[in-house]
Amino acid sequence: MQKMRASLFVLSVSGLVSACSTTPPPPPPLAVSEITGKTCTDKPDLTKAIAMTPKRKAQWHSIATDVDAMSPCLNLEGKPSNYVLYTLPAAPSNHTLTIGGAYEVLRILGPLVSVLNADGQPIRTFTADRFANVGNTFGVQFRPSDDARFVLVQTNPQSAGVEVKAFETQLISQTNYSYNPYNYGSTAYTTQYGREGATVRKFSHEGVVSVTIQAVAGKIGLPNEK
Amino acid sequence: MGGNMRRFAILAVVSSLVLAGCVTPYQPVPFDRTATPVTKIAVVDNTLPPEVGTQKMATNGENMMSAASSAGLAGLLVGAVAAGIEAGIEAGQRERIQKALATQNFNGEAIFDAALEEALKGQNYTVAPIAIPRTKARELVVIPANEAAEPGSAVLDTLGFNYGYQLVGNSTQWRPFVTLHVRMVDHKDPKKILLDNKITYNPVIKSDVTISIPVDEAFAFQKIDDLEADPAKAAEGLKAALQATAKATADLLR
Repeated sequence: MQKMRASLFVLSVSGLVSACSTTPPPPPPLAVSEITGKTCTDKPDLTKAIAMTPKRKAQWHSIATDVDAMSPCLNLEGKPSNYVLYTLPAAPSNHTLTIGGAYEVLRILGPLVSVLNADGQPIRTFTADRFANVGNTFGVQFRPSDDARFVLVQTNPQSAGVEVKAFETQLISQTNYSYNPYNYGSTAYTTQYGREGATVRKFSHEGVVSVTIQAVAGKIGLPNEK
Repeated sequence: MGGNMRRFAILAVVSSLVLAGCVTPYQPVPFDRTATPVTKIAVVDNTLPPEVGTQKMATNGENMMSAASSAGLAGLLVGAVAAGIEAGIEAGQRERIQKALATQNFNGEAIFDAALEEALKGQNYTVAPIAIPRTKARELVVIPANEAAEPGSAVLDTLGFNYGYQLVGNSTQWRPFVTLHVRMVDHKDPKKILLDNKITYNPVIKSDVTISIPVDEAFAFQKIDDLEADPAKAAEGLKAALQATAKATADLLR
């Protein structure tokens, strides 16, 4: 009898558990080392640029733009290269930009960054040795000059497919809830645990472009705003 | 794979918490060598803490992160606060690591200075040391204006918050770490900040808009006993960490 009750209990617990289980998430996307079947242009389409200025006034703004099989591409020394174009806020030199390819589980968009003037002509480019790990981005950090209008991020055909190995340490924070019988509420508390391990990613033609815009004075595009 | 995704999500939450914790997010100043043609850099002396440090995080279930954010500190300083919390347990281990490194005549300051000088010279800067007393530990020095400074002269402070060996969690190993705040100002007008950034070697959290360098996986110790058994390797690991950090500093001045 005792045994049966126990097994019933086990059954009901497993029932509860299975009720909560969800389908596993899809596997993370893989690096794309070649662009095929696309017709590329020689110049970026200035009319399709994404605004860096947020809709709401802000001092700090982040943009993550997906680059995929549908993204437009440029001819770069005879090789195709996907691109995203951004329009700088007003008073460009009042901003610190951190811009590049975002770290994903198995890939990093391999970035090339150039600053364009109002005619779409490049006025500044960044050599490979200027790129660093900045936050969760492999990119460059700079303040544009006032004659700059656009920032062009394009994928680098030279680096696409190249492996990036890194050993990473992580401090992981989890929020838990405990029921408090005295006020019939629940209390949140946070616990931490550490983790470390080797990671292997590849530079990719597809992925995420990450942009962080910080206003030096005032707000983004509004240097005199309090 | 699912675990990795979840790890990302949790990390994102952590960094947003850290961001929410501080009132003004950190504002880096990127250096632009074309716009500001600096040729001569005076490097501030004595930038690292006098002794090798240790930090232990999430090894005893303490609530490090909330302690750090309530202290108003960004991700970079979580370690420093965490180190304070676990100070009691840790003090003995720190002393053992320091003793092990002392058997190798380890001099972190000398290693860092030499590597920084070499990297800056490699980028065609004229480099000289400058002695400015650091009145407060873990704070950038106050650089006096030098009217006589030639155009193109700058002063670089590479303030080391902490460096040494860290242990994150119970199932991980002791590995080297360095946390640095770098700032370069105009020598004639020190109010003109030419560069400001933070560099972490072996970060536990990749803080937004600051530089991180992944750890060299070769240098790891399961226990302090293992580190004591091979002090040469321990010294080499920390040397590699300091050299990589010095190089990253110079890379910000390209």
